[in-house]
Amino acid sequence: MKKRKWLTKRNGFICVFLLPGILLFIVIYAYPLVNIFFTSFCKWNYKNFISPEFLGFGQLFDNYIKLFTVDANFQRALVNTIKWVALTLVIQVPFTLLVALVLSKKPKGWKLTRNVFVIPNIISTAAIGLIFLNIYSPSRGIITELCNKIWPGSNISVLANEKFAFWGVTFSFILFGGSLCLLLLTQIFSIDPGIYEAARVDGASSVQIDLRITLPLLRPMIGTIAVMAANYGLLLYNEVALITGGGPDNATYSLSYYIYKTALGSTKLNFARGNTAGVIQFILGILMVGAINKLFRTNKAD
Amino acid sequence: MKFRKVLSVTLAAAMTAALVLTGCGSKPAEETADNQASAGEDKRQNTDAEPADQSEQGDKNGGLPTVTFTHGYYHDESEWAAAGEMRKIYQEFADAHKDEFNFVIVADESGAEGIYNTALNDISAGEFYDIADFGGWDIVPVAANADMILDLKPYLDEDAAFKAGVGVCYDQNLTEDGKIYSVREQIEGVGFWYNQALFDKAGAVSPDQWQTWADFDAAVEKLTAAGITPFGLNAGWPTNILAAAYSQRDDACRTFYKSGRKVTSFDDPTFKETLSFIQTKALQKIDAANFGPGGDDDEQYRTDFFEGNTAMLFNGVWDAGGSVDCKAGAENIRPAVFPTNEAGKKASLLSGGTGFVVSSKLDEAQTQACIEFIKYMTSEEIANRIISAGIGMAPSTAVDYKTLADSVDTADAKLLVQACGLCQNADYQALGWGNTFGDAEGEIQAKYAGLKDGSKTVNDVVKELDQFLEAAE
Repeated sequence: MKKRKWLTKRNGFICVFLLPGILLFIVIYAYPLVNIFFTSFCKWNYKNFISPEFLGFGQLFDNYIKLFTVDANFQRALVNTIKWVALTLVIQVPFTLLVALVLSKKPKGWKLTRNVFVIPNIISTAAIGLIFLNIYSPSRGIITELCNKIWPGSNISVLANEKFAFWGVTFSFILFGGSLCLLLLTQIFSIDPGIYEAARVDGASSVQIDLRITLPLLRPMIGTIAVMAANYGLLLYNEVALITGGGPDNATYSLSYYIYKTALGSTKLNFARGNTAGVIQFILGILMVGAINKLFRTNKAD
Repeated sequence: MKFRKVLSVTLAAAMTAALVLTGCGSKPAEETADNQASAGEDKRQNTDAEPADQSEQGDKNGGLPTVTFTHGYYHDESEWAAAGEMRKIYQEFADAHKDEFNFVIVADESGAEGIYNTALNDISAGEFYDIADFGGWDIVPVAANADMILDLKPYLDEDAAFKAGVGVCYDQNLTEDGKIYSVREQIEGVGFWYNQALFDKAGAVSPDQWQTWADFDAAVEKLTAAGITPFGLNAGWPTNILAAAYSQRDDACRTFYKSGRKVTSFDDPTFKETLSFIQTKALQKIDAANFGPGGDDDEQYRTDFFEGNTAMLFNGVWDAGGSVDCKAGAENIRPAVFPTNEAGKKASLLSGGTGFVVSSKLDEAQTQACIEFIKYMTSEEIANRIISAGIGMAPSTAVDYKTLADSVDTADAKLLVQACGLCQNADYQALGWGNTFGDAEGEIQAKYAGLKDGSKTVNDVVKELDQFLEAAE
């Protein structure tokens, strides 16, 4: 039997074309990732900014232990981030799915509605942040005025109140699922119309068609948008930085904001602690994607 | 087909080679003075004085030492007149010394924050600016630990005029190991502003007559009784000013305050009293509409004051400019400094912070050029110019504010000179809240909202701040 040669012209050709991509991946992703993992076991702050020092095997997990035992800001950031991930799955994904299902019926004005729904996703988050700052402003914002109309004299300042500020940040992004809606619509429109036709001939109602045909066929795409939405919640930074700056009383810290504040937003430049939080965020991301893929069986077709 | 294959392989090889070469590229180890000068000129943006002459000058003066100075005054004059004036001041120095050294001026369009961020990157690569103005961004701890920056103390100690020129910066920027890595030509001079008409309307004693903080409390009561909002605040800057000012009320307070970044616990009676004052005598005296969430965009407290809706504004001397054509009436706006609990004695906040920082890797001639520049920038002449041009407050103790007040023409410039004079002549001058407590500043101001709505007690705040200190270790 003739042994197959690995080093064929074709394989060489493929390797040459893969090389730039592999190099880029190594330089831009792999090296920083390894670096973040390594420096999470180091002391690295303004005192030894040029050369991180390995903590030693006896104190290997010091940074991790501090995060979970004494760093209240990290703990709050972790809890908030988990809440935001959950809220995107519980609110954003179902809401977007509902909008997509309604628009897929092509009611009158569906194109305009679809475009309007996408607008917040094509505006920069900086502009969205400013818009919400004005909406929530206690002196000129509409929310305080509305509350005063309903509960005279309540003078609610959304961003100055620990309980409300979290929801203030949440509503600055949670309903904006325009891009996800477009993906769902594309998937819905690619379903064979014959299937719907057959269901209608069999006397299925519109709700039954949605529940029994559209949703099952959309499952992999719902899984995909769930990963995208949850990922947004996991990495949330802009809205926090622009609207609350993590306040009041650090009640709206997210993991990304914590990492920035710890590594660069402080005179101590605690890169080691920031990177430790980065590792935890990375692990959370892996777990989240794995769980969502398993739940929606994204990679398997029925 | 063969041609296509050859072309494709060549392209892929070119892409790979380009990537590798880009990654391996490095800066030439040594640049000639001329190259540096012209490179600096390439980077130079928005400098209005003789932009084309710089590289020519570099060529003509080849062989002279070259120093590149980076600053954040890149703004167009129409946007911020002070920036244009500062660039003129720099250029005049470069021109005056063109026969001794090449002084290349680079305006960084990312401002002082960008200069700070670039410096962080440079430090990790073992480099540092020749000389840069960090405009308050504290690069000193990291740069000093990396042994990258020059100790200016020996130069200050050998020249009394230089030392007088840097004023409070000398003591404030003295590190624990007895070094001074940075001085500034401008400082944050902070007292407060008040609206005389509103004080008169409420029948309250105006701040220039106050003897102690009890007078402040009485005035606030009178103003609120008359339906006038005493001040606007937010979860940040103006409230920090008030807290820092109240912390100067007596010796015990000032002692704790001075310990600043070294505090190991906030469980101190004087600090607790300060928080209690902020909670009951300030935050809870105003309604939600006058308490913003804080942050860069939150300047409603200023707007309210200049529109005549509030009686006091806790902000620096630079806000003299806000009085121009303001609704509250420029004639009603007055500067003041804070009372203490020692009858008649006053306190102001003067923060030097980080300004000019010089690389320790320069040769003797370059170092001398940098020192010459800092001396020039902190001289009495430039101090007078900075104040009279309405740019800000200078640290120099040599400034004669009375003479200066007579020499300026506009009402806001007079107001600025008056405010600077009050701050400089106050009995007690302290660093601002942020410069004192460092990273804890953000944590403290994060508690103001809870103190205002009563969801937090002073003891809760102190406990949480101590937890922060423990975590930050």
